[in-house]
Amino acid sequence: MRVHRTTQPITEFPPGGSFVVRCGWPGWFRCDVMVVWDYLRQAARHPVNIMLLSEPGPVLAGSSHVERLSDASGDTSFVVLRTSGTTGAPKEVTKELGTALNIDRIGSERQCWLLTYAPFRWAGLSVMIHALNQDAELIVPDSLTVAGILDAALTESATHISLTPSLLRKMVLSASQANLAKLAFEQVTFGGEAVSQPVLDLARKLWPNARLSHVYAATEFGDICSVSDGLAGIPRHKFEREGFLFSPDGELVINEKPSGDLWTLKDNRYFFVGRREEVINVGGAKVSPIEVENAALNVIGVTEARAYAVPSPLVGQVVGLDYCGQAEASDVRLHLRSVLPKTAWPALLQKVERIELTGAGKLSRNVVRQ
Amino acid sequence: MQTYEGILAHIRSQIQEISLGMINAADINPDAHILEDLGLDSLDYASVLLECEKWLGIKVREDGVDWGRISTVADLAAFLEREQRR
Repeated sequence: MRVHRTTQPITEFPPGGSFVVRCGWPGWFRCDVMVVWDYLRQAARHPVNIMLLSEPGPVLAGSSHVERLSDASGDTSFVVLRTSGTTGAPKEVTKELGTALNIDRIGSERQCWLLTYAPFRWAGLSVMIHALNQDAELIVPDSLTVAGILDAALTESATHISLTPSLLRKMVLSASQANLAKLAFEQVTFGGEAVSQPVLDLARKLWPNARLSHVYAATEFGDICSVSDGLAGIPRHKFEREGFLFSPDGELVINEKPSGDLWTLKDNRYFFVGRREEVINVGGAKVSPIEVENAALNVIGVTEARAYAVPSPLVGQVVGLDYCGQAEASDVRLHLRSVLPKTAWPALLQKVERIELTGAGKLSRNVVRQ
Repeated sequence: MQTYEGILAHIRSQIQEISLGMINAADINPDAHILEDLGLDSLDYASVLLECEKWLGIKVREDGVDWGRISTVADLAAFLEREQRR
């Protein structure tokens, strides 16, 4: 399905209103996208607010998809992104749209942006806002599965894609090289997760004519910076801005708000270590799950990998690693021992059938041991 | 449910694996101190423990365990046998 800023809206969001949209129900992806697409176009014209409430699970009896909350909205439009808390602590982030929406620009060439994120997440909203501002068409897959995304990319001739590195890996596993090479992307933007050099090199090999970028963004802060030099990491100067500081243990603090993201500086570039809650504390030594995963992915026969903290009564936490592929566990273990410090060696190493991604296309490191 | 002997054998095999074969399972005396006599460190010990938990399908208690008193291979086997019966 393709939509454009000129597509006839289905849902009306009159000026001066506040609405809640319950989204994320299985099978409702395209419907959610259309509601948010309609909202963004109208929010660019008049103040109207929306709360995107993601509630995974069955449809609630008596509830409706879009519901008017109140008549008060203020002078500008804003979006509230709220998770229900059914799978964790409820979170709520408010984004003022203000000047972010500019839908009067006429694009010089028709771009086709493929949506690979849910519309109730900042990543999805960001892609939709960019597409609107660029006068582009938005390609909406049938579903946010790898098969759905690949099918949409091929049949709708997507020119632009924004995706997580984990999603690219799944696409490479699911599609033939010939089919992937048919995708004539002009722009490939990585986001949501730190992108490693091998992933950038893979994308360059698949799509030699595409412009490659990776974006660092956070729901609370929006898009923070973009890198297009083909190298992993963020050039140092991009973080040397007013309001940007690092705590002693490497957490980025923006305008006195801790980001929860830990970084390390090497060769004048910042490399993402991990989210504070995902960094593994092995007897006091901090281990980056990303570093362990990247090392495992270098083993021939390992197609996917996920590292996570495993509680240990002896040392606090140890490293657990799940991996997919044909590689033998002994080979994986041997390689990791040769390239990683001892604290990063997985104490628990498991070959698994699949590693699921979250609804945001990211690796979930919140592993519950059975 | 595994026997004490079965658990002891598994611990020995895990120690052999974690040492990449430098320590032969058959040469491990049950009264050997895991850290002092076998040259393993706390991380190795944690790895052996974790592998045994996975093999037994159990998760040992995190509180109320005096790990100072579980220092030999035999101590660990006896502890795991009790834990699996809990």
